Amino acid sequence: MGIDEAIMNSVRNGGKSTIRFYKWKPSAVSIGRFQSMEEEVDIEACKSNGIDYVRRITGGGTVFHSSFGEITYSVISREEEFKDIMGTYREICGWIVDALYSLGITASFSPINDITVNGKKISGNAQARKGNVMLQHGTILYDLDPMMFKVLRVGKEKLSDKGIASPEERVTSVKNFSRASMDELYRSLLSSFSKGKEYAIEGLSEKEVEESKELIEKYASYSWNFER
Amino acid sequence: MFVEMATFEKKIKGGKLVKVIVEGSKTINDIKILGDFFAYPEEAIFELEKALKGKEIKKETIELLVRSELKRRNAVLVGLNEEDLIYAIEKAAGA
Repeated sequence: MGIDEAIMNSVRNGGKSTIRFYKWKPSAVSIGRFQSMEEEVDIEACKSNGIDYVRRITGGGTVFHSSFGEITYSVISREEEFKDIMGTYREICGWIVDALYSLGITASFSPINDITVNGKKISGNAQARKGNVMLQHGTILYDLDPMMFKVLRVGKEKLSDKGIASPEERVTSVKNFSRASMDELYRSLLSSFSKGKEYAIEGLSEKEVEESKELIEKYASYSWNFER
Repeated sequence: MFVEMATFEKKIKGGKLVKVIVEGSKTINDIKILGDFFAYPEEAIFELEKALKGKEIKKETIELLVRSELKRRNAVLVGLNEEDLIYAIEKAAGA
């Protein structure tokens, strides 16, 4: 979270648009900006299983980030390059759909912010816009980690208009449809996200590294994570 | 001390979930607007909560404040609209 915020600050100050791909270590749960940590997450189950938990700056729902089961991306750019909120979801989700297609998976963008295969969610995405900078981040599920169902509390109201009884019925993963490795998924995403763009593969700048470290305190704090 | 608190939760069809918790019986002593929706800027929701605190629980008051606060911040809601939000707050407040 801190790295995303540091990169947003860089971009705001004239830095280059940035795309990141990363995995979580340890596995973690992230909740949306307007959610309640205690309502969405079984904190005791997280503690006993060594799972982190954090509030995102983006809205949206609760996400389980498995250290072996998913890739997370962030796209951070000046807002003028992605002016329309819904259009941005469609565009960036389109890159993910294309990446999955190259692995033989037919996925669809499911507005507002999901990507589905045969009606089941394989990717969730969320956007924030702050100080003329746009951040969209999201996950692509490579393999289902059953830990997800132990640490997330999913209420009946959320499932009510989907006509399903349990969260397990809602999600699917790349491994259900393709023999591609995690590395192949990553390369496919890299190719799709960078298509038509001039890019360089770099690490964080010194300033971004320094700022990310300073932001650890914010994102680890009780006041941020249990704000509501 | 008895604290009067009420909750209203709704999954907007084709949209997101909104949950409002209101503490108070004649006035809004405290309010939380929760959910998996999106709002731009996010601060518009927090400022709306602040603006509603201390206000009399009346439909007209709630509607006026929601509309004026969202307009003041040029807020964009995704996954629910202004009417959904007004309805949820009114229901939670018992207006």
